[in-house]
Amino acid sequence: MRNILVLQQHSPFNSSHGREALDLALALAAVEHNVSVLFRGDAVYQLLSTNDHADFKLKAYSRSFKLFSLYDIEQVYVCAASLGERGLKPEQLAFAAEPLAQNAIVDLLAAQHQVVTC
Amino acid sequence: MKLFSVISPSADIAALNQLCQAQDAILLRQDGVFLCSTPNISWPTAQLFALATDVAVRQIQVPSFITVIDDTQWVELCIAAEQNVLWNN
Repeated sequence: MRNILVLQQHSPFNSSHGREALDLALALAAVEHNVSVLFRGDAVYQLLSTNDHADFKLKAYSRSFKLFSLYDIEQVYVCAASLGERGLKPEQLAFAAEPLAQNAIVDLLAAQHQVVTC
Repeated sequence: MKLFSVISPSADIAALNQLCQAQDAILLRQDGVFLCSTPNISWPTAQLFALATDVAVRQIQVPSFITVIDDTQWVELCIAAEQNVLWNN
């Protein structure tokens, strides 16, 4: 078992980065790794709620973040500074990731065997 | 009139400010609509638009100084513009 951090950095719908990072995190957890997930930069927008719309065919994959607990991924974090820069508050998030200050993020990185940037 | 389409929340707005003038228009679409709710952006023009579908999917609260337009109005805006610039940096 290794400590692996999946570092999400992209907004939700312009690219497939977010969706693929979710699949990666779940796959790593399924093979018994100790997975953490951190949303920073524009990836914090992945944590907001989405609506279905007839003209929008992409899957709102962020609803699958509920699977994290099923896969024993308990360490899901969001960069507090990234939220602040975008005028967002933790209580606005549809998925309650734990806000981390910059020094706590440094500690989180230091505790990992691997960091995967997505 | 030039139309600048901003499609990413990480778009370089400072660089856009150097090219966009008061008579030009900016359209926020795709993940660019997240900029509607970002505080402290100084926009170079008052002609600001956001695409209705992209706003609705992301549940964005659009401030009153940004006009929400549908696809038909988007086409009209493109036709009215002498230049269409995709601001995708």
